[in-house]
Amino acid sequence: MTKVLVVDDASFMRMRMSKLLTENNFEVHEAENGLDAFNKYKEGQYDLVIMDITMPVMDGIEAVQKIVEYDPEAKIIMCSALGQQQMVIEALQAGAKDFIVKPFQPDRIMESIKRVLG
Amino acid sequence: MALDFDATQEEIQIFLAEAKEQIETLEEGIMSLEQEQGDIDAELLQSIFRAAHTLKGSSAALGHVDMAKLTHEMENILDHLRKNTIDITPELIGLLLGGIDALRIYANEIYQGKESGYDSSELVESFKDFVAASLETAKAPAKETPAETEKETPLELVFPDDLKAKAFQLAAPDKKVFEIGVQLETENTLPSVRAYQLIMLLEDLGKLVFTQPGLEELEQFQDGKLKALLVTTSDAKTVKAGIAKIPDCKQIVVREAKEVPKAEKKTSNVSAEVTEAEEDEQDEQPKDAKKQGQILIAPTIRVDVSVLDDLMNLVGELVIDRTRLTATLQKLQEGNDLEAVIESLAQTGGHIGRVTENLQDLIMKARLLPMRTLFRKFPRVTRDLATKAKKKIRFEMSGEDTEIDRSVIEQISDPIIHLLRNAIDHGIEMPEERERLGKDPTGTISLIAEQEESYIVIRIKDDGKGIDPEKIVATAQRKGLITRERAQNLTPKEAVELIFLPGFSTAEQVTQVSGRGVGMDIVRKNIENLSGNIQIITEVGKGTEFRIELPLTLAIMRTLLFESSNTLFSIALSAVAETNRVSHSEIKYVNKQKAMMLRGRILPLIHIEEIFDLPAPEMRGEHFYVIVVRRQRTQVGIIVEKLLGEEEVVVKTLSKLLGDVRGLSGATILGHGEIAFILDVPVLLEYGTDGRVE
Repeated sequence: MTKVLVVDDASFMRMRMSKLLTENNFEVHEAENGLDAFNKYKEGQYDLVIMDITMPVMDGIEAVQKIVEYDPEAKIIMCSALGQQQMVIEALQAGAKDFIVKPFQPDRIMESIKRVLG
Repeated sequence: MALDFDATQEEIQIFLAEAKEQIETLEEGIMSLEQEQGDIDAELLQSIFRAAHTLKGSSAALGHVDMAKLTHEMENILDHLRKNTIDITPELIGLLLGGIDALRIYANEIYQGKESGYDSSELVESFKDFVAASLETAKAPAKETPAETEKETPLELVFPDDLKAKAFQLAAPDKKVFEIGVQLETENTLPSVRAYQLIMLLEDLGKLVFTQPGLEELEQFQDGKLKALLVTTSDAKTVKAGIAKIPDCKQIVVREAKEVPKAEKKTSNVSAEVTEAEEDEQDEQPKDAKKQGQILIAPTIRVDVSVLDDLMNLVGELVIDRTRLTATLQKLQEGNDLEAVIESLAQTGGHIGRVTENLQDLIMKARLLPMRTLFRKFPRVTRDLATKAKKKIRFEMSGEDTEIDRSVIEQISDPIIHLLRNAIDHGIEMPEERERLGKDPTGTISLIAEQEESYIVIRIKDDGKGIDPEKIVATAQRKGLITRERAQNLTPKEAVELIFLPGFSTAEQVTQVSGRGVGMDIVRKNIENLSGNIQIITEVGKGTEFRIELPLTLAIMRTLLFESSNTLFSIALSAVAETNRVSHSEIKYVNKQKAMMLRGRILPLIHIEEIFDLPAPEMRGEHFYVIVVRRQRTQVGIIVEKLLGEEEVVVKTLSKLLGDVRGLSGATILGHGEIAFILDVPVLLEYGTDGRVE
């Protein structure tokens, strides 16, 4: 089963995303900030990371940098709000593969995931 | 109208819990922004911004469009503050606080599952206007924003001839030049990021001679139209297929460019054109019928996980005890070694005792909340009240970490707000007046919480004009609350306490902020219902302090235990002024009512039995005891047979066993299993008087 790490500081958002992914037969794990995500990523062989940008402790961009440094093959999709284009570009430069925009549309998320997992 | 969201109750509950925290973070942050003035803490701004941002995301995900719109504007303003492109002004703070009020309304809407009818669109407009206005005036002339009207014009693939020529220069025999046009979706996505992805992709495919927008122009990229000239060995189909992998491409045109003839002008023919307008995938999902009705959410609390772990451990210990008891029982049945059985029982009993004591402590602690949860809203309340009263006020708080039972916290909020309001409306003078008196024009109000033994003391202090006993007496007399004779006999302290009389607070004192016209009598009643008390310390010209004493918890009470007619009673120690050993001869009758003289005052007496309409017992013995119950100026002596001493008791309600019994507020089970009834102090006081002969 494809293992996904959902990273967001709002548990409401994590819950929503996890629900969608679980329904689509993914094995979902959660992290509540960038640092948490990085630590979990190192432990857990994830096929995919869905990463929020604005988070306390460590933001999503720094987390992407760390994860990609650790695993250049990491597949990361950024979760962005409208208006965060600059940050998303930064994240893509750091090695994120794609982005999705809040509020989430299930079809688009699945489409993005399919694309990134190739 | 009912509000329906495509979310489970659990999700909504989590949403609300988080929203509450984020709104509080926002409010506290904005309040400190106001106080810090010019000196802005970047960390603080970042955390407020994050709160607005997260709330925006969550409310949009939940589907509360208005809430998402509002938080979007708030986030935008905070972003400007963060980037220092607009300044903090009182107007801005006011706007943001207005936003917070609106967010609370929306959160409540979601909680209730019903539309409130509130519409924040005006507020949203003011946010927009504010940003527009500040960007125009404060900073350099605003950049011309690209007109958005050209958004939906068709793709036009026209490239300057010199660029094309350059491309053909680069094109070796095996390479082709493609003119590429992509119309990107602009709604609900980030077209500039898609453009970035496209540019990266095209660069991988070959030599990218030209793009519009260029990498540097992405920030201003809005119309979603990307044009590019690509020199590559791939064919048109491959290029197009590559582009199509990037989402949000509504229309893709890839065609081989015709070399521009050096001199003559020829009508250019399109040789290989592949266009395809992709289906718009933006279609909203059909909103399926959702569950109707209101969302009912039980009050929840957050408990430290370690507390739960400790509880589990203790329960584990109890399980061990149960096993030991079973084993002991078996031993007993087998009839061997009675001494070992006794020893085992004693050990197990002792162990159970320690474990249950720990359990009790732990549960108590879990019920305690820091005052912070209550105090955090007061800076805002004070600010609003001060602004309305046109007074300058410095508000100080301390002891926010003091912990108190959560049920007490819920009930003490209104009284504190009322006292704060009084301090602002009636305590602190107008700035000019203060200056004239040689005081700091800014008044100070302090809210202090601290623990003293098993009590929490909350003090609300101001450095205003104090309460003038003479004026209070005059007002009370004018309102017919006291007689002239009585007025003359009052000590200054008693006079000040007249403000607690029902009817003393006037209509003019009922301002809008706390919303309900509570008088000081209600304040005192609320506090006494919590087994607490309130005192006033005031000095004319210097200021006033209200001192509220509250029990740490309502579940456990310190009581005085006594016995009468072979029944055990207990009464809250907080209400007991003193106890006296009295002989029969000291009882007097005033208007057929038993009474005694206590330090020159008449103390009405009543047998505890009479409260429950039982006949007063014959008092055998020379002496009996009188418990003096006093609150404020009302006192009554309760005649009892035997005093048994102080006892900390766990209060149990009667309602399930006996129903409400007048005069009893509950019962408790004592160490040896006996039941003691807990007396209801307010009922006792109905038998009392203020100890003066009218």
